[in-house]
Amino acid sequence: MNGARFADFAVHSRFLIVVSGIPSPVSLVMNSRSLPAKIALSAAVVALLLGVQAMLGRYFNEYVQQIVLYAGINIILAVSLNLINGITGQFSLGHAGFMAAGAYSAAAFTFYVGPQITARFQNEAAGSNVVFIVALLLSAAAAGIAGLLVGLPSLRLRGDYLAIVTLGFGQIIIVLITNIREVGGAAGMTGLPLMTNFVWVAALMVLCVLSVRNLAISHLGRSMKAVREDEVAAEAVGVDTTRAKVLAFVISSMWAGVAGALQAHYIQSAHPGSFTFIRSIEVVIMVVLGGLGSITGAVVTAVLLTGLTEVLRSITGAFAVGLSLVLFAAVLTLPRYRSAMRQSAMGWLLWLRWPLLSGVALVAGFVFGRDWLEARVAALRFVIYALILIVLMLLRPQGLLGRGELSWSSLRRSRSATTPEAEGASERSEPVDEGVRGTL
Amino acid sequence: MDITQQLINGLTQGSIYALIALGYTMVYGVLRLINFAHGDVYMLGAYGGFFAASALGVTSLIDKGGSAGILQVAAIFAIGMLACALIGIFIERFAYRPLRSSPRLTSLITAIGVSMLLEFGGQAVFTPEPRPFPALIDNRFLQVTIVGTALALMVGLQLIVTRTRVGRAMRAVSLDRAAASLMGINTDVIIAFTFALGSALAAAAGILNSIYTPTIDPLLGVMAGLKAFVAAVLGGIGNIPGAVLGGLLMGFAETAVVAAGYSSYRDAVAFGILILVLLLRPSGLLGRVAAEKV
Amino acid sequence: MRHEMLNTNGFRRGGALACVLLAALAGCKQPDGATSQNGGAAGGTAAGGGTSTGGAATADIGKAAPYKGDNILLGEYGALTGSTASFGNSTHNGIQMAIDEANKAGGVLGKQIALQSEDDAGKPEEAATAVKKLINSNNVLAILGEVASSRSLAAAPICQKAGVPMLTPSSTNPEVTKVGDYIFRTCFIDPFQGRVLAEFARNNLKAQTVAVLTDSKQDYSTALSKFFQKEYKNLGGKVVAEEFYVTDDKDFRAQLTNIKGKNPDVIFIPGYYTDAGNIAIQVRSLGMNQPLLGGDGWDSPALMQIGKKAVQGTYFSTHYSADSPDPKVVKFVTAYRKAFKATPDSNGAVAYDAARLMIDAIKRAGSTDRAKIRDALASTKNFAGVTGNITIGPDRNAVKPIVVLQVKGDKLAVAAAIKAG
Repeated sequence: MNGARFADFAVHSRFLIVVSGIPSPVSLVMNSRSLPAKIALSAAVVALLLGVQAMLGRYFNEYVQQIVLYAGINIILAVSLNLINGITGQFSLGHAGFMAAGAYSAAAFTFYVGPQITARFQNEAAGSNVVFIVALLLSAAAAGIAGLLVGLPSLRLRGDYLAIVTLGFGQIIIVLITNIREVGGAAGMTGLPLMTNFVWVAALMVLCVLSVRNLAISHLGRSMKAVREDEVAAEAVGVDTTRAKVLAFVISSMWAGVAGALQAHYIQSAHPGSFTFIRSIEVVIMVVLGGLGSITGAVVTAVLLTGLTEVLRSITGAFAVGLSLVLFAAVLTLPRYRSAMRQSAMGWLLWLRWPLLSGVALVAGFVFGRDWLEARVAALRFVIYALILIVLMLLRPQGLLGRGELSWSSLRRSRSATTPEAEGASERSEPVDEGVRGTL
Repeated sequence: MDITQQLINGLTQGSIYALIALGYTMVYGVLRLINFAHGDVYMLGAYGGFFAASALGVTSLIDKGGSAGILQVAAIFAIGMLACALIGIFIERFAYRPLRSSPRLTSLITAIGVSMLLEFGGQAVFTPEPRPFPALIDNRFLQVTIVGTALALMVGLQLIVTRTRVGRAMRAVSLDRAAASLMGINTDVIIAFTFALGSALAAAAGILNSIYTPTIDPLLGVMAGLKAFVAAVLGGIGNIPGAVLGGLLMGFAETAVVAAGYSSYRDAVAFGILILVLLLRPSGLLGRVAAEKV
Repeated sequence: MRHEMLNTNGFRRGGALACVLLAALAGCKQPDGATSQNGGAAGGTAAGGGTSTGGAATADIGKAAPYKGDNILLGEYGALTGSTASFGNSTHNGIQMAIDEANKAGGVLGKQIALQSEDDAGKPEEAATAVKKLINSNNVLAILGEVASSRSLAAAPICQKAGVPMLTPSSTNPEVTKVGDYIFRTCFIDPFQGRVLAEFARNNLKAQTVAVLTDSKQDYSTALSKFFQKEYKNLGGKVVAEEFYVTDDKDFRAQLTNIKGKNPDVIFIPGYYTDAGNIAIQVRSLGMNQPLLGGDGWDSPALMQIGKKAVQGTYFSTHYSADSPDPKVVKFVTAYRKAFKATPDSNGAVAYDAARLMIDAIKRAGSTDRAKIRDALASTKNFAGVTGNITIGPDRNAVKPIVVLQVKGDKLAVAAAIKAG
């Protein structure tokens, strides 16, 4: 690591701190040291959430409410995974395993111990809320321990080797769960009480986003980013890389565990099939699509992708999504052809050839192959989802927001702040893994 | 008797894993990319063999009680492997090449996208119903043939990589892409060739495995691909002999777990061994230990 | 306004939460008489999940909107993609066929029947989403599904709470219908089938020893395996080997080599036909000639297409025989072949019966009042289905006969028929 690169990195970190302001009024209060202000803010947030929940219950049906809840759970998952994959620059493929650890420990608690505790309370609702709070803490603890177990290998392993270990760990958790009869084995745990609601999910989501964001701009967070940029250099300048990496894993998996517990107590069951490595991949997709290291990016994509899978349920939805993808692609590729377009009309044609071709193919497919597609709408849903992944990655490799954050100030500056950041991310060459060099 | 049989079982399964693992490892060697879609190319290879067998009339021949001739079987393999080689080149050209200078995680996500596309596209086009694969090889020497074919393919690959000009170019690209390009090697062609080679091997593995375990469905590449990937990492990803070693080890380990009577823990033990090995040798069995340069 | 807000379930629960979180700060007091639903369900059984309501004023909370469609809209949720998509698709075919036939015969209550089907990709959390969409966005009259018990169990509490009748064609786990009085099924349950198979192995096949090969990833397989082994041991038989595989495995030779070493009289494989044919081939290729035995998961023409010679002489229990000379069955099988160019598997047949039973119940209820349809379903007596005469028992399970079939050539011969137990 040479001096210029280090200076670049130093500027970088400061830059991130400036940019990553989530809504500034919130950060103003959260950053103030006064306790009453924090309490007042927390109370205001809970009151606001209660209001929103009442609104949701009144004006939206349970299906919409469930999508909102799933989006919240996905935000917790994506933002927490971002801590490992985005901020610390490690690569985890085992988030669903931590989710499972949290979901099952919480489920076992509410199922086996919960009723006794609830019975001691005069007020049943208060009792069950106490049970749920304990269950959530337990899920965080269990998943945190699992995260510690996985975080330790991260001290010795790099890159893809770490990825495969986290993946393997997730698989092992699933196999173990499937073999334990007390938690239902292959049938899963069913008959769990319904405890998760909008207020729980939203409050925990806000807590998760704020804690990860505050962590990211803290001293520890800067250590994590230093590990991401150059581990050897970070260690050389005295950063405790061990602590940074292990803590990233522990904190991230604690939140995954909480998300698992929330999900299990919403659908009232915990099943091994909910925590396969495909689920981990879904979360990785959210993080990368949002822009590695961008918290707001993770939030935005978690919401978008949750909604997307629902929109794609119908054939008209699939058609609409397909067309918007083509339009979006056309807009994204516009800058590349701008000079050609200035020179001649052929430039326009050059720009529009792919969007036009795929648009025509899409319309023709839906007009002439409607019956065929209609019969396969279920599989089509994931085909289009996959196409969106590919096209978005090809056209915007740095993710929706790059490493930048969506904030009041960045909106005002019309995202000029995020651009250099994003370009910097794509230009920096990956550190080459010397171990695999030339072994072919 | 039991132990001999289990050893043969492990060897057969292991050589199929090894064939798939080779594709992962070669692509990783030249591009540092985990080609998540490789398992699904293996699935397409099985379907390629299936359709080739019906088109050549071999399926109906076997249904009537006949047996397939060596030329016919060779033709089926050739068609399946060629088709998958083309698919591999196509995937590389359109999904990975545009992202070659982007962060590696980006192309990983496109790889996942391609994988999903093939899996769900497969379910839409082929239907999720499992299909019976024709018994191209007589049961008596089925396992011997599979191991023999796999071995021959591996030796062939080793010869290509070490003894030919294109193999030397592959090694050069793997060593340093920029430098190789400066030496006049057309890196795009070499990378495409690597994909073609890996995909053809996956297709061969797909057809062999479908004869061995005679049903095919659009999701058959998911677990096989994952385990072969584990095998590649186990041996040291990017290393060709390592992939073969990892594949065989994986096959033997899984069979050993079942033979010991813990079949319900089979998948866990496979991954457990992987984690242990990586903790002791962080770059896999034959992978070179990373020398950190500052 | 404040009063109305109190009436929403979520607000009360939220109030309780706020109490816990902010008790010291805001001095919040739990509204009187607000026993929240989650509190009621904390007892550990989902049965209480939706039915316990605080009082008359809150009785309609969470209920689905009354049915207002111009036609009769039925909802279906199932795995149309993923590793169990084969069963989801044949179930869908069976339901679609029953509805098409009913529409040709003039529909029900003078209206045409439509089907809204949703994919759950084989995941419980998606099953919950699919059912909520069917109830809240599509306002379906009643719901058909799922094959897998784990998914039915994720959806059943939602249907129960909303008061929408749910009829599962082939979820065999006893817990499913225990969720509540709106949940029904048209198949037999695991303990019954396990007992029949154990008796068949012990008494008809005279097996002293048996080996079991279970799919540890499918709850259907693990449950059937458990009940079979329990009964078989009670009958004095000996289980000499219990081996496992998981769905998506293709190579079973390692497990089968173990079984071969134990030389059992019969090998019991409580899995699905997607694996059974493949397993049978590998059993024979290892030189084992024991009879193979399976459950209704085997029942598909694909078993014989895949297994060919290897499945000759094997036995499995199921709802009906597709080769039965019964005119009802002949008519169904011919129509199914014509519509989908395939012989129906048992999932398709049971789903066909489930859809017909649902339509029949709507007809008997004489209205689109869901409670009346529920009552009509509960009072089903001797409904003539292709999978046997169905009577819905007091626990909302179908009481129906079971047959054990043997593969002979390209036909299925009845080896034993057992009355409803």
